[in-house]
Formats: sequence, structure tokens, C-alpha cells
Amino acid sequence: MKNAEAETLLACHCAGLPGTEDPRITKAVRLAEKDPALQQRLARQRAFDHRNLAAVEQLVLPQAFLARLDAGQPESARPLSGKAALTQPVLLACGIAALTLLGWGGLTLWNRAHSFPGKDSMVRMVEVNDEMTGMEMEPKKDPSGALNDWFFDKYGFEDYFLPAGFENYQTIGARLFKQDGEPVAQVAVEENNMIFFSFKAEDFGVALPNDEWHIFTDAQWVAAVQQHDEECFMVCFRGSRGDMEALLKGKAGKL
Amino acid sequence: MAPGDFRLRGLDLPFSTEDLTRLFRFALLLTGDEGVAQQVLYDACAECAARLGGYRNEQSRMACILGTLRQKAKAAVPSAPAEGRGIARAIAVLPEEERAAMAGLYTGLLPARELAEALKISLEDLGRTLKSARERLSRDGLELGEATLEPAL
Repeated sequence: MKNAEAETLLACHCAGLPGTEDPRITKAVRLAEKDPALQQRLARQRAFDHRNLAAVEQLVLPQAFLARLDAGQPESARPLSGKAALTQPVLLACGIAALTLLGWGGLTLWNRAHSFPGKDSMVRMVEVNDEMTGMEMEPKKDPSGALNDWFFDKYGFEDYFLPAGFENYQTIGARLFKQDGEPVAQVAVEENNMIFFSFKAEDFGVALPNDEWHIFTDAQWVAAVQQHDEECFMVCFRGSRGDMEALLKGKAGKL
Repeated sequence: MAPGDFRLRGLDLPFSTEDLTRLFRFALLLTGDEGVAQQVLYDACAECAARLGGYRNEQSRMACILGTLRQKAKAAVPSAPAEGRGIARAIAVLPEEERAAMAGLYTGLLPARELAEALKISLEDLGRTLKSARERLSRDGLELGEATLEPAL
């Protein structure tokens, strides 16, 4: 601490008033006690304050005033206005709690509105894409609508289903894998690096109104699921909800 | 209490008599007049009474009432400062910021750092203000002939 700073902080020192000191002021006082110039200044200030404090202590609170306070009425009935009311600690705490509850409630409602039975299994299906190297699939260059027989011949899988509008995409690979012991047909499509999934709805607890799209996002993926009778179809790619809505326009199914 | 009258009796302030005495001294040093000091202290207590319970600690409560007192003292017109007691009269004629700083320091209402915060200035500015106030008091004390304000700086 320099002398100039100590001199400034020294003015905040008032001997005889316990509990009024700050560590920086105490340090300034210690420094002043060792410095000849500041030592003199400190002594004069202490003498000056000592005399004035003695005079201040002579100022006595009139007893009649205490009685007046005792009989007084707080202005609590008067409502606080505008900013003053908003900055009350109790109101601030209530406001934050209300906002948190509203946020949580809103999130819960949003999740409920965008959830459906079996969604967790669908999310896990989408996450399978991230674990794949590309080697798992058998190269297959055909229109997507032409794989029915291939899935049946190769795997005995009878539930390959595509909604109208998805039959003519050029595929680059396909396979059948099992999730939770249940078969899922997976097809990779050239356009937009899309992945199609087809499976039996009841195998994964999916229960959706017929021919209605349900869109959800998971990390960088967006997926849309549609059930038709016992079969389910899901398409996913890396993109946004808006990209998916644009894709589904003109395809069979209610958005 | 009459049936149906559920108003609080008294201001129910969370201050000891010693605190109230310090607050009264603060008001008196700000205004220089005992009557005005009582009025501004009463008004500040009445205004803050309902709010004080919302603060978590004693220093925050004290800072709240100190700020209100200062505002009310600024608005109050001293009736006759010349009739006030020596120390109060001398401090009451200082510039407002110096008056509030000096009154806050001499009444020991808050530690220096909290006092600076309550006055909305830094600790360094509080030091500069107090230094200037002491110098002024020292000069003016001589002119007023006050024994307690003889030159010391």
C-alpha cells in the first residue's frame, strides 16, 4: 500500500468506534503508525475525532420520541409502487420461483405434447446411426420401394413398409438388425444421407394414430415416425424440424 | 383492540434503543435541528418498518433505514439550524455528501465499507469525502468558536 492510498483510507478510520474498521483501513493505520509524516496526521485526526465523538455521545434520544415510535403505525398498509415493490427480496424470490415453475411446467407440457408411446425406443434407434461405420450394411442400389422381397428372402422379414412418397429414393445399403431382440429393417438412402427404419409397431410399444407424422429431434438428428396399422416407418437425417417438415410435405400422412 | 381491528400496534422495529439513539444522532447531524431530526427519523421508521423484515441481516436493515433517513433529511427544510447543538450545527452546514459521511462515521451505524456502499460511493471516495469534511469542520469550527471543532488537521 502506498502512502497516498494510506492517507486516503486513513480518513475512514475513527478510533473509539469498534466494528467500523475494514482490513484495508487497519493496514493503512498500521502503515501510518510507522511513517513519521502520516503518524503526525493520524494523531491529529484521532484527537479531532475523540473530541467530536464525545460531543456526539452527548446527543440523547428523547424518551418522548421512543413513546411516539411505540405508538406509531407502519406504512405497511400503503402499497409499494412500481420498482420499489419489484425490488423487495420476498417478491424477487417469489418471482424467480414462479418463473422456474412456469419454465418447468412449460417444458413438461412441451415434452408431453411432443412425446408418444414408444418414443424412447425410436430415439435409441436413431442413436444407432452414430455407432455405425457403414460396414454393417449390405450395399444395395435399388429404389427403396423395391426391397420388400429382398428383406423377406434374406431375413424372412415381412413388415417392410414405406408410406406413399418414399418408394422412389435410391438406396445405397440395407440390413436387418435387432433392437431389444426385435427385428428392424434399416435402409440408407443416397439423397440427403437419409436413413429409413421399418418395424412392427407393437414390438417397440409404439401406438400412434394411423398415418400421422410425429417429429422429434435427438442431438443433430431429426426423425419422423408414422404408423400404418401394425407397421411403422421412421425416416431420419441430420437437420432441423423445419427440414423434416419440408421433406414430409407432399408425402402420405398428416403433419 | 376493537373487534376487527388487526392493525399492528407500534412500529415493531428490529432496532435496539441504542440503535435508535445512533439513528437519532445520524438524523440530528444531518439536519442540525432536533425537531426536524425526530420528524425525519419517525417518517423513515414508519416507511421502512414493513420492509425491514425482508432483509437477511442487521447491516442491510441499517443500510435501508440510513438511506431513507438521508433522503428525508435532504427533503426536510431545517427550521432553525442556528439553534441546534454545537456539533450538530457544525456538521449540518457541511455539503450534503460530507455531512452524510461524517454523520455515518461518528454515529458508528455501519462499518466503513458498508457505510460507503450505503452512501453509494467507493471506500476511497468515502476517505476523500471524510478528509475534506474534517478540514472544513476544522476551519469552520474556529469561526463558530466551537471547542470540539478546533483545528486538528
